[in-house]
Amino acid sequence: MSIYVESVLTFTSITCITVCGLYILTGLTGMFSLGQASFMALGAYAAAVLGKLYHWPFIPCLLVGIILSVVTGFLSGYPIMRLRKEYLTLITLCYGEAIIALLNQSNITGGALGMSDIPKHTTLIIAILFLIFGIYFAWCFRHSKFGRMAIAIKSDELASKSMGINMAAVKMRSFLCAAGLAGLAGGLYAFYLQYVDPSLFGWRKSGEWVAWVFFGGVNSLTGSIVATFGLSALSQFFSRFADYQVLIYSAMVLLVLNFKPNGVFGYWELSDLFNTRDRRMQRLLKEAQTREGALKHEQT
Amino acid sequence: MMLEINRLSVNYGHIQALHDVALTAEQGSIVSIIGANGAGKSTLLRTISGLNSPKNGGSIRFLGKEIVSLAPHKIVRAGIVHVPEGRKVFAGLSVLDNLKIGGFLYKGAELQKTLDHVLTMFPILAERKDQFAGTLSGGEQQMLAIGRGLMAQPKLLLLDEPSLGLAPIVINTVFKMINEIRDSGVSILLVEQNARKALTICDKAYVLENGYIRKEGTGQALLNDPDVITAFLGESV
Repeated sequence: MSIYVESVLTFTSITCITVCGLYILTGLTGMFSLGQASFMALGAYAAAVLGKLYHWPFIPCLLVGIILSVVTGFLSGYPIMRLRKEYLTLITLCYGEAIIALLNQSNITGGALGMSDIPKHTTLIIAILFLIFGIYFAWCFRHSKFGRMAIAIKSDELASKSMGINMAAVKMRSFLCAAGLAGLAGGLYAFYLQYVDPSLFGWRKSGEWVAWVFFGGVNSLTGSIVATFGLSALSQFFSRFADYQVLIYSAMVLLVLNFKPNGVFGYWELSDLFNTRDRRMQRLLKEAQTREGALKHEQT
Repeated sequence: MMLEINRLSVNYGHIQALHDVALTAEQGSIVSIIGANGAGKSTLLRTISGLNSPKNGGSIRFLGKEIVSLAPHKIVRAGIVHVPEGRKVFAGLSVLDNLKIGGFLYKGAELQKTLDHVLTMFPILAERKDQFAGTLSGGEQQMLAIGRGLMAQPKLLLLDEPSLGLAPIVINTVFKMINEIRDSGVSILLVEQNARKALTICDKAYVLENGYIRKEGTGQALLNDPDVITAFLGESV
């Protein structure tokens, strides 16, 4: 395997770990974060500072990065969890930019120049192993009590509240899981690239990930992952057109939302291949939704 | 006394939706609240379950404890479950998952026991337990919404317009279920537009109008009340 392909695959696997977090946050709980990249930045900088300046080993660095992301996520998320979901988008956007601004100013991390000569610990195999962990984590979350509660909140806040679901706690749990996974990805990223600077983690990155999740299908873990691999690999190979990337993404997302509102994969999961019953259910649901849509159409 | 409400007033901005409402419900009884659109029926239920907050000075006592300013999830833990208007089942989850969400307070054997209880009560849900809730008919969704509420093992069930948008024959089934739930020991506070049904089934009823309690009495007494007949039952006397 050429070094180029290997590096593309490694970066994509690392990004995909963050996307697993986004699946929990956006796909299951229905919240949007434009600050995921800044959680990744925290993980990356924690790894960089501890690994380079204090010569900590690999795993402790990652752990500190995760803890740092989760703690700051808790502090920034706490005041807004009782508000409507839309506020999270605003706050995470501001929070993300604030973190970047802070990193630009800080002396210990080299300011805008960033830090180089970070030890290299991450390999393709390690990245894939952590990615498998991330996917497994998201999958378990989906099928646990917490996942069900998150989906309940996404589908109907009022009903979930009247069921006695503590919305603030469930939203916070999803938010922290996403932050933690982003922190982990950040650590791996720093140990692979051996270099970090604040411009790597702006809100554009976060926005790009949200676009991927929507492209693949916000209700499908398979869709999110396939979209991440497809689109991020694509953007690597077409890096000549980097200037037009945002334009292309926007057009793509608009097209997908217009013609396939549930994303390319809809509700489909890879595991459905082995589970014919679920497929029948989905067909039934789709029929019911079409009926309902037709009914609404008639009424208007 | 199971539920005792005193001097409850609720505002939406400058508009007052409830004025000094007082209401009591006995253990093991069905209490109906009837009234026209916009009378404040749903507001009353939402305030009891903590979704709306009342003005200062009102009191809601449940089994002797003040619950007026508690968060909704604490009120559910105390034993009051609200089945909201319009069913609001989680369409993208299976019937079984919907029920499990209702019973999220319990786990293991306790959850299974409640689940079995609800599924015996609503055999149609057992039949369709793997189906997405969005694929159920209106009546089945209403059963699911009520069953989901029962999963939290409530002592008092608040039902908001369970007959809304259902065919007459399905309404009869729903009301039969409500009776059965009462017989199993759960008290019920029922808000209904279908006044005749609601008055027939209940032990006690209140008439709500523009946020004021206008009348109270047994269901039978209100069924024979000339004002109620002209206003809600659509017959002239």
